Amino acid sequence: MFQNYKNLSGYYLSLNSVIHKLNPQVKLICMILLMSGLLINYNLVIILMYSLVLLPAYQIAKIPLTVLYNSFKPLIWIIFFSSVAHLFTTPGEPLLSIGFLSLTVEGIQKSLILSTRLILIIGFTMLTSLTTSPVNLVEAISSLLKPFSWLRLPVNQFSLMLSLSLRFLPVIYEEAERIKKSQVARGANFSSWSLKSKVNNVVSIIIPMIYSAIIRADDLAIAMEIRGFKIGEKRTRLKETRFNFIDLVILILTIIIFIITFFL
Amino acid sequence: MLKLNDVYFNYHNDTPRELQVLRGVSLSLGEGEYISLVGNNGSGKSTLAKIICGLLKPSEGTVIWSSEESNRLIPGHRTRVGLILQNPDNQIFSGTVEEDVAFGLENLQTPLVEMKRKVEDTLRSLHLWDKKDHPTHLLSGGEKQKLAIASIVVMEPECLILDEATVSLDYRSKEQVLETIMFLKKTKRVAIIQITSSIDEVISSERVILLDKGKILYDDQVSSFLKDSEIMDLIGFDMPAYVSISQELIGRGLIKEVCYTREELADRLLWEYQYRT
Ligand SMILES: Nc1ncnc2c1ncn2[C@@H]1O[C@H](COP(=O)(O)OP(=O)(O)OP(=O)(O)O)[C@@H](O)[C@H]1O
Ligand SMILES: [Mg+2]
Repeated sequence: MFQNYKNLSGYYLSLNSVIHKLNPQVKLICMILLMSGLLINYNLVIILMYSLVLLPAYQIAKIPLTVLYNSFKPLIWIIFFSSVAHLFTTPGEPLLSIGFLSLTVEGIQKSLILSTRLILIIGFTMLTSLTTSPVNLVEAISSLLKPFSWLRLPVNQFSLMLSLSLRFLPVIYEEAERIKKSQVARGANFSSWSLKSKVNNVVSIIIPMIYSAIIRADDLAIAMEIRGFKIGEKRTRLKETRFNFIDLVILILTIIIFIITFFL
Repeated sequence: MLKLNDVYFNYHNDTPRELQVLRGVSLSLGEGEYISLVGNNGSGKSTLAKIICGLLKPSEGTVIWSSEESNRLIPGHRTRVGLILQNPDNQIFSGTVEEDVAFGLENLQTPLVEMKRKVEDTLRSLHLWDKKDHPTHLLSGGEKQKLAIASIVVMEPECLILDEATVSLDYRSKEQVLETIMFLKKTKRVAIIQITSSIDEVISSERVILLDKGKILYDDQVSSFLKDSEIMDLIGFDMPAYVSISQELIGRGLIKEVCYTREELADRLLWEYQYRT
């Protein structure tokens, strides 16, 4: 019932590469630019250009493409159906007609481009989360959200919540597994396909998890207070993120690609 | 170092659900002391720990730190009391060992150079340095609890309270934690209060405080506590094996004093043997 959190798509892969070492804020901005570029405009040339950015990037980050492929698996049907839909619904030169549906050259082109675009968008998102530790990612997100604290939005609380959730993902996963095992030991049947027993099973896991979450929250509050944590208070950092020359180069290159997108 | 004077504490003070948990607790604690706090469930041990940490304020009575010591403290740059809870997972906030140890210092706004030095010193002295980049969720239970202790120790507390901190650990991990405690006590003169229901842990301490329904019923050396079968019965402690064996041996005239550990008993027997032959 629970996926292994280590295989959750986009889980951080701690490797040593130029891309891993990039400033997380820069990485996040680049990802947003590349994704918006892909969403704003698309044609064959643009798709090619972005693919020529993505593939070498994975190479440099030393991430095998199978990791990327694995994260597509759950989405393969979506990609498949949307391409089939485009294949037959795009007006143009008909190649083949089945009843009122007709396969067109434009349709083939469009479905290829659109599914590649989807793959590219996911690819860039994955690249960011695969090469940035959760803690750094959260910090980058919250620093980009900083301006919003001007509007009195609770940016600090939000990023704390985000980083604690990430930190406790493995803990909660293990707990769910443990509870599941103990429910099996009490006779729960998790392989049953009937809706009623599925609902029962979920409830039998959720209730103990809520209980332990409340205890955990209490402990957490104590442990944080003991270690001098006050929300919104100034803190020093052990690991300052630096902005290097390479960050500047990558940022400028990305901005150029983004701008070119408008003219292709 | 620390004095509690006639401390009372009620949960839900001044409401119909008011619950009196501590009823006039007085105790004093010296530098480098090693105390076991024992008592039945609900006797108020955890509540007392929170009072000492300053997480809860006494409803009546006072908690006083000796004044000359407070002068040499730079306010905001250390904690006085560290509290370790049972489940280490709920006390670790960061992705790697090093980052987690730094968490408390970051909150105290310790300058970077000083922070790096303190983190390194602490990790080295607790033999965690080679694990500094290790993801925290992959540590063993004992290592996690040791990390939780390291994260407190780096803030240089004068007193460390362990609230059933070894309950969920296996034998080897318990040993690890005990070693760590002994190290802190000896090298840093940290006072230790362990809340425990294990007689083996009580033996390693020096002084026992027994809390019963919010009152201190007993406060004395471990050696006298272990001989007091009435008090031991009250909280359901079994006489430790080596104590009852040595009492038996005393009865048969083989040795003259009660021994508390395996080594002590072996030494004593060897000594008697050599003395007689
Ligand atoms: N946050 C709270 N609000 C209300 N009552 C509480 C709270 N925490 C503890 N109590 C009550 O106070 C009493 C003492 O609790 P405490 O946790 O101090 O006992 P303890 O000696 O640590 O017990 P245990 O051995 O089970 O850990 C108990 O009756 C408990 O129900
Ligand atoms: Mg307790």
